[in-house]
Amino acid sequence: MNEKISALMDGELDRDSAAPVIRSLGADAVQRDQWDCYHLIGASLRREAHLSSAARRQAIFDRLAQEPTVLAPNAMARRAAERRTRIALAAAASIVTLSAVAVVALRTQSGTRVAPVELVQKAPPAVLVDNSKARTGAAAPRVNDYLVMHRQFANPAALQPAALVQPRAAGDR
Amino acid sequence: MLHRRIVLAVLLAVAPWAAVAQSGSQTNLQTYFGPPKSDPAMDWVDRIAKSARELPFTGVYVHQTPERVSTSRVTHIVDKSGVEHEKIESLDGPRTEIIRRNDEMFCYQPDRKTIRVDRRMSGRFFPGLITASAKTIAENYRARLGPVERIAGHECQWVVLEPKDAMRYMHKLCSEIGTGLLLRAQMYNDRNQLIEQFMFTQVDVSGNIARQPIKSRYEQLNGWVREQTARAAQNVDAMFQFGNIPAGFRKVVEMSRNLVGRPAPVQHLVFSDGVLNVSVFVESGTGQAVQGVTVVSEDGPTAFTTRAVADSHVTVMGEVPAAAVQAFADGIRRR
Repeated sequence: MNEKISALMDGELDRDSAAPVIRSLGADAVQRDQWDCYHLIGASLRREAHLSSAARRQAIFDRLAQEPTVLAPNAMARRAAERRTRIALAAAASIVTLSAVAVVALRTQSGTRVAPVELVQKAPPAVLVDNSKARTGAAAPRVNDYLVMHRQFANPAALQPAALVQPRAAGDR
Repeated sequence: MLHRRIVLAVLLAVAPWAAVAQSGSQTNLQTYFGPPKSDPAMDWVDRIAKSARELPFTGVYVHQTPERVSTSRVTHIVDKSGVEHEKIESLDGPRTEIIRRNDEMFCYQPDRKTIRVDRRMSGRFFPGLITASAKTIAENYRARLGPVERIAGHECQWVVLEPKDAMRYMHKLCSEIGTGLLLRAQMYNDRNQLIEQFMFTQVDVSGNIARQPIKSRYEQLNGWVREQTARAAQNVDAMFQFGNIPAGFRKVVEMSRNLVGRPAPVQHLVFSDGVLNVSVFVESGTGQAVQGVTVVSEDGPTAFTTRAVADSHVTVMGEVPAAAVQAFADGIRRR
């Protein structure tokens, strides 16, 4: 199960595999702790000083548990749907790691300490997709591509927006 | 007689202040005394814009959003013919190098062996965040001076840009006293929470930067893929009407972009208020009517929304409040 949680966080599960994991996260406190733990590890590896908010996480999982899976079984729209699921999953994943406020202390190169900066962790509202109406000729627009185009190369991370899940080769972990 | 004269004098002396007290607002104060000759805070805004375009500088800056922190090195010079040359290297994460010559940009990604060629349109590039004159910015923001602080070893004047409406965010900019170069920039949402920050941690504004041509270290490599998505725009205005554009935003550029896996090109329009940029993407469908898929979300400081307009999908995104992208999207009609 822990492997599946890890894979979910990395966006490596497809929608069929992700749904039961999310459901069990909603139901099982032990697994939610594991989820938190993984995010803490991730945050510390990325040297981010996130302050996790358990209350917020609980609210999100409660809401996720109630969320119906609304992806249309349409072959044409499948790729787009898959992608949107991933956006939603990544958004959900980031919400969990997001706390109300993170205190990020930056060190200047000279080593002097800069006053800690309060940087708000703005939780994106869950991406709500009404897929029942999406089964038309044109596939849904690809928000990730647009994010890359909009930000251009303004910062290196712009080439990999938060919502974009990069597929990784097997054994790459 | 003397008594009367005193009364008159007192009345004359008090009258202007009485008028001011009655009106009570700064606008009326200006109406009464005439507009100030110059706004010192807005003069700093002009210096910030000018120095980023004209100064030679090199330094390392940190970019922070709620999602991530990244560090880059930037070097900027202006050659004898007045062309700006800039190089931005990522110092963490995947290796990238951006070479900019005026508005022409080349992004080298050695891991993918790819050069992406684009035109500067909607991206926010520090320290060149201010893209309009102070006069234009004054239409949408009130500027005031903050304290002087020391940043990256330089004395620095804070300037606060407060939005006049809910269609944009507040900015705090810190400008190097001697040259005007922007050393730190912060963006706050309507709840006064910091949502984006750029900050130099080390910067050289002495002008002693070698004026040798700025080139990518990857420029000589063979076998790279060149990606160019932008082309001259098709006539979007003939097909769509853009009503309800929030005050102060002007269309600055429009391009046509080819997306991998998309049959038709996507039209990319950029609107700017001089500090913030909003992109509108119009993706035409197959001619049949498209029904609504409405997504409203925010990715870090970027808000986006997408909706169907007749047979097309319209996506609006920018470093603006969600209400602003919504306003843009709601006003788009098929002609």
